[in-house]
Amino acid sequence: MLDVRGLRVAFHTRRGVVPALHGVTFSLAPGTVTGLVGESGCGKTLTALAIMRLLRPPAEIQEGDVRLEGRDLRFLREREMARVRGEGIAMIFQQPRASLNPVFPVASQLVHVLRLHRRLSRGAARAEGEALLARVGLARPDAVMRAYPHQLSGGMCQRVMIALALACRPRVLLADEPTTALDVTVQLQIVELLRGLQRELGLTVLLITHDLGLVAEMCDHVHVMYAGRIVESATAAALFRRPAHPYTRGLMAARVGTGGRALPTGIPGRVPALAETPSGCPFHPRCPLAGPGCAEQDPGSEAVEAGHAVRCHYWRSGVA
Amino acid sequence: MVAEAAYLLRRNPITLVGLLLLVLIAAASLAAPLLAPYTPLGTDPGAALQPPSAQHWMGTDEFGEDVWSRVLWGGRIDLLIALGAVAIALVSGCALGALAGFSGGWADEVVMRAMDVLQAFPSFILAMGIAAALGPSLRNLIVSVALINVGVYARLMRARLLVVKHAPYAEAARGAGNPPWRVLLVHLIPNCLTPIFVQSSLQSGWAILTAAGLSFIGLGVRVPTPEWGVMVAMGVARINAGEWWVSFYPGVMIALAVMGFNLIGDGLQDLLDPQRR
Amino acid sequence: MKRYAVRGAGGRRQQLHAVDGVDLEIAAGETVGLVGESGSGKSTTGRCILRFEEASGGRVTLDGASVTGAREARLRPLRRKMQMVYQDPLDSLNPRMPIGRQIAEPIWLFGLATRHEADRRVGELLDLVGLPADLAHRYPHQLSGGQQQRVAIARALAPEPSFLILDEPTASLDVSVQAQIVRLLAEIQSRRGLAYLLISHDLALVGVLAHRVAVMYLGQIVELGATDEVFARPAHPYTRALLSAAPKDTPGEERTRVFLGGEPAAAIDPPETCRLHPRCPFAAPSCLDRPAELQGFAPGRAVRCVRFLDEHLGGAWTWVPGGTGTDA
Repeated sequence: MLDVRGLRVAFHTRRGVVPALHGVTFSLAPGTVTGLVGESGCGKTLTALAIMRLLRPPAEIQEGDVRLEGRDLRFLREREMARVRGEGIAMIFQQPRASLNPVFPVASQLVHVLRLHRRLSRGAARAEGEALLARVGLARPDAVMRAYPHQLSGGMCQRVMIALALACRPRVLLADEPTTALDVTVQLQIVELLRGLQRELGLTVLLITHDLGLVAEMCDHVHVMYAGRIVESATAAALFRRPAHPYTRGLMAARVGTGGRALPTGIPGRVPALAETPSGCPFHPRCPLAGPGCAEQDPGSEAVEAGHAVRCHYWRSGVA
Repeated sequence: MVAEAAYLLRRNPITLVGLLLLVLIAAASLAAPLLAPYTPLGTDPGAALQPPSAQHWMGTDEFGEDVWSRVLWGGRIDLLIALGAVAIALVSGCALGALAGFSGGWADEVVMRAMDVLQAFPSFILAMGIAAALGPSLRNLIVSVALINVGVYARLMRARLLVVKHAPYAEAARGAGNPPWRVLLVHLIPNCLTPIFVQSSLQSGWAILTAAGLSFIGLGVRVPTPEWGVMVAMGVARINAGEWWVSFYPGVMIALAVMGFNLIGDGLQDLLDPQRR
Repeated sequence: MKRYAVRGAGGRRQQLHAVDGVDLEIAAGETVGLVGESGSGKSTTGRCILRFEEASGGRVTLDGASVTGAREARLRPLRRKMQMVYQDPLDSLNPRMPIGRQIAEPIWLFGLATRHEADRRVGELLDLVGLPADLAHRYPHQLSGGQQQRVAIARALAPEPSFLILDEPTASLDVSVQAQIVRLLAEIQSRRGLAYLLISHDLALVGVLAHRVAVMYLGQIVELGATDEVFARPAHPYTRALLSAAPKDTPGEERTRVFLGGEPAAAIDPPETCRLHPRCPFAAPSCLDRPAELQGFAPGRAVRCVRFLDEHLGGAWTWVPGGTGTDA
């Protein structure tokens, strides 16, 4: 459905051109949920923005291929791309309240999108808007339509965002940290909602998150990102059963489970700033398996088993 | 700090121009005793109204005083007015604004309504009124210009303070043992100063213009004192007669000084905000 | 020992019961977790303890000395003994002051040392939290999130407190950094015998650090007990909902979920009876017969649930996992 190949994005700063994404490659099979996991600064949001061509200077896509159902997105005219955004690929952003325009009531934002993409009349758009709000589980859609974003709770705002994203019946949904700012019971509701909608509408979802728990809940496939590269790819089951990359294993160990009182293990050091990415494998300064060659050469992709790839020189020594 | 200032100046050439301009004017004014060939009040009726020449670089006015010397000495006065008035306005405005913003309640109301009254008048008219009431003199001129600007600083300070006093670090400062007055002075006010300093450089330019204006209409310094505004006023009547230099040079100096202050405004913002470095 | 019963209220014509009848005791070296979602009143409770907000009723005592009602002069030495670590370290540090000075302030402000001495102690504190001493002249925005939070912890430890309130200390940090901070906090507690009040919505964090836990909903404590027990055999429906709402650990895990209907109401003019009733999957008509009180039902455990108490008090209590509303 969506193919990304060799995506390279860089920032133009006073100190020169700083690369941010180094050849990101992955595909989304239709009707699946794929997770893009990593901490802040790893480039996952950047990847989504690059796919949607929402990057602004000083960020720039230098190289790479982005295809939606075979159609090349990178070189479309802006007008064409505007149609793709919304109808082809829709995106939900991280902070629901901040992503809705605070001076317009919900109704006008929904109606605007519906009229723009689906060419509905004003009355039809309003009706469809209310139907969408009901679909995303809002109890009183007419009241929500009239409300302003600041009058709604975080969970309700997020549902509105989902409604907005689905308004144009996209085939692909990019969800950037959709549950991060929400309370845990509300998170659960949103996860259930997204899962239900995805099954019902056959959506292809790219879920961007730092939360491995969310990945366990929702994803079929997972890609782990670090410093602008995908360092491990697998099905969700395989990733949790047998994480190969030391960074993935570190993330798993850093989680705090609700059973037992074992303290989580942190990963020493911290995520490098873009301009200070280490040479060779970017994880080597923090890696417990680092050995000769790690500082010199960025590892290529190796297969752990069918459908499970990793980029690490010494992954075998870490895995049982 | 100096190294960072140098770096910032290199990045903002406009700021650099402004700074150089002001430094030149200030230096020239301070060195007036050395640079001025004639005393500013020395009249020489015989040499009245002479055009610029080798002996009198900027010509002479109707009393035979050398314009160049008067311009140099005038610089002292105008810069004093600008910096003095702004300093007074800044300190008193900030104090009032801090009181209003930090205490809230009736102190806030009283101070802000007082500022409202002050700012309800068109500023120049108000300055005229104050200057007329106090009488023309250099000190009164500074006071008048200062008074009309107090409101701006009070509002700026209060606005920033209202935001900043709710910041977690204000509370943390209390937890660390700071009594409220110390939280205000040491923690909050430094975080409110950036817009104030930027504003003050712009205000300095306006202060010179206001002072020049007041002197022009006779409400500022009195005639023999070399002040650019007064000099322009004296020379206006002479323009029709073709003696342009009496007004022109002081006028240019006013323009250059105001421009200098305006140009450093933005640069100050960069310099003072640690997060933009 | 700290004990407090706090009641806060605000709002104009109606009373917003932000915190209602909270009783907690925390012993030295112990961590008590205060768990709840937004609007539960947990943060307000924390701030009332430190007198950053004035409680409308109740008492807070620290080692026997009364915190509530103390005038400024008597409050100061008490303030020294109780400190707070905030959620967002970038907000809780003064952006215009070098971090060394911020850590030093409480030391000399509380009279523990002269200013010169304080500077030396800053080095020791930075070392304690795992930061190099030469970071002392940096400004907060020049440090990473994890480093900033360490600085905040160092500042909180500077006046040698006996009690620390941790308000969502890891919420704004990356996962790998969270783990580092959690370990640091645990280590410091065991080294210095501090008492912690850990305020968090993150049950997993509370599960690891807290010895006892209090679950809050709409300003009231609805369950209280040793963490292991409460998590393994939760009594109150809200606790069950929270625990079951946490994301799975692995994709293959089966998890039965307890769902709450609707959205949490605001605690304005709340009823004396159970406040969860409108949303509770176990609600029965008899739940509203009497006011919901927090009552003990087993050693060290208490719950505020009418139905639970009716059905289990007086008899042996057996916990039934899951449950869909026809629970008995």
